[in-house]
Amino acid sequence: MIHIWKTTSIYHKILNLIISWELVDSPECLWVYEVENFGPLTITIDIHGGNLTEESIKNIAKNKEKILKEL
Amino acid sequence: MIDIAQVIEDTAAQLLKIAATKLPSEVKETLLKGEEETEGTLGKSQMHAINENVKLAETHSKPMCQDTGLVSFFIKIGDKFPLRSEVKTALIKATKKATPNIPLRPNAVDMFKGNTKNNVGLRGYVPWFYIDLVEGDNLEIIAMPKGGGSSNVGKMKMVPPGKGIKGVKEFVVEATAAAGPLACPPYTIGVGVGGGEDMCMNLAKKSLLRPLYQYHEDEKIAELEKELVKTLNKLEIGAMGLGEGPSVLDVHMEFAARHPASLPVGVVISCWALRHAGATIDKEGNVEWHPH
Repeated sequence: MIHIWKTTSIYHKILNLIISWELVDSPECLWVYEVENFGPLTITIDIHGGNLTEESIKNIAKNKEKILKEL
Repeated sequence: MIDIAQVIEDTAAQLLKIAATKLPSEVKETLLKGEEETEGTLGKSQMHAINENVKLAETHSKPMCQDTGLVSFFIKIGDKFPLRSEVKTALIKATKKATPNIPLRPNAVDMFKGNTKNNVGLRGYVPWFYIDLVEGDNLEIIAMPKGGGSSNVGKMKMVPPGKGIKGVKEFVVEATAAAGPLACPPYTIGVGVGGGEDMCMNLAKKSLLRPLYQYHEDEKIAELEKELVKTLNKLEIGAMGLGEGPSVLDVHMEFAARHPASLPVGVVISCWALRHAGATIDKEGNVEWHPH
């Protein structure tokens, strides 16, 4: 079953929010958005191998070592 | 005659709604200040999105996050309060009622029978109750729904007692660093020290209920809390883990006595959405809502 809700989001107008799957009341359902004026967004993983989460994890690990030495 | 059980049920359902839709005022203020002070457009945009989210949730009375958490209640039952076990029954009913009404995401999953769809577990443990017996004739209820993402990064360690306070600090740094960008920072960190392996986690969670910037009444512990806020922010986790803006809003610690051979340390981490709401009901059924 596919449910279509009309709604608006924070930054962009979402035309139709389609929740596919019968389990509308389940946290594990799938969401398909049709969005107008999408963005601006932060791309965290790009096609050139860039990964902001991994960069952040590396930087935090480096800072952690420094902090632990200074404790 | 007022039906006290009904008053408890209605109050608790309303508390779940307040907690899901409206952040405590000091958390809101801190997040706004965080946006103002964040340098760097990446971090600022994240803080801005968080604050917009908080504002919209409150305006529309809708949950601020799709993860409306696993429900727990901290309750203090006064000696002269007319109800005992019926308090639990009323809170379970409130959780079931609140689920479609707010709505809350159904977050209680049975390992064998699947999602119960009403946030109440099949085996009697969810919602979880922290029950305290106190003097007086009131019932205090605090609803605390906690999101799964930030619960996933909670940690407990039996630190070698010889390491002392330094060992505690090290573990808090390690646990927060391990959470890193994964659990929707800026975080509030709850730390429980002492008791047993389970009690330290309970204390850590309980410490998150203390309002931000209200430090421990024991000055030594308060100093430690303030020191850890500074130390943990040096990790540069940043808003939503992007390295800019606040990493940790506050650190709260609770200490229990420990066994001579043990130094249990529990770290419970809250995402930016530090959600809880409380009320006190007297024996006549009058409700006093806690400042929020």
